[in-house]
Amino acid sequence: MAKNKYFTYEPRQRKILGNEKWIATLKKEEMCSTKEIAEEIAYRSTIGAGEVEGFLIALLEEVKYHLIAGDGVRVNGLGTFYPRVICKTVDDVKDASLKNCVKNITAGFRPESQLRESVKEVKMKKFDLTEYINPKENR
Amino acid sequence: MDMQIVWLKMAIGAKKGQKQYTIHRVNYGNTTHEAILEGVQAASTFSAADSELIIRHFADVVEEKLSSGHPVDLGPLGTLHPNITAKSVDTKEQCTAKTITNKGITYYPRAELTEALSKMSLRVINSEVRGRKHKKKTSESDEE
Repeated sequence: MAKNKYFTYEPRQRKILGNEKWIATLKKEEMCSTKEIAEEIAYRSTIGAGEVEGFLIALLEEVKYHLIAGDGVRVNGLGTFYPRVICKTVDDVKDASLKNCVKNITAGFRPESQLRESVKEVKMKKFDLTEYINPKENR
Repeated sequence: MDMQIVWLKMAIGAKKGQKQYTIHRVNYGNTTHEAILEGVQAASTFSAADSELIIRHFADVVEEKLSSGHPVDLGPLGTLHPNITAKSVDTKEQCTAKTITNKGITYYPRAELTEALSKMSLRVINSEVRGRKHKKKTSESDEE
């Protein structure tokens, strides 16, 4: 996987309000699995990858357990996971009931400021097909 | 999960400026990092220092992967994806990095998690209707 800190974008044609427009979209990259993260952590420490992976799964399961119990959960360096209730509004206070307002319950995530800022500082690079065909020659 | 009826003034849409009512989750405060760590440690053989180290490295690796454009799989929680917001333009040539207005992270919860959350029981705990302060119009929401 690329170590460079940049996002690759490519222009895509989209129909916006009936008009054909061009918009920059993020080029899809390979998904990084929990196993790969564990291997990376093991490489930086003296702990085995299998043990790290087991720990990470236990950590994420613990976060899930608290989320299902209705609590927000803060993980240092990452952010806060919280149960998110999607509601609609009503004109009268008498109509404001669970049945009328609640549309869906899902989970939300608020990244920590450091993580958010780190992503905001990433530079943008236009997608170049030749780089993908022969990356060694072009980098 | 405890919920409460709140009122708010609409900032956009057909009902802009009108007072509307809805239901919000009552936030009693988040489960702290230490409480999570304690729970995980009970099920593992790692010391407190090792556990803290792994979590710190975990956050670093997630940050690095997201910053290099890779989505990250968080197992039972779902996935985190880097995303961009951009202005639309008329021609392909006009579509440059300058049109990109924002960069951020999008969280997609796993279907199993959403399903478990949707089965959660909700209750409205307080009949007192409270106003919700809007970020831009704080003076108006202080009325009640």
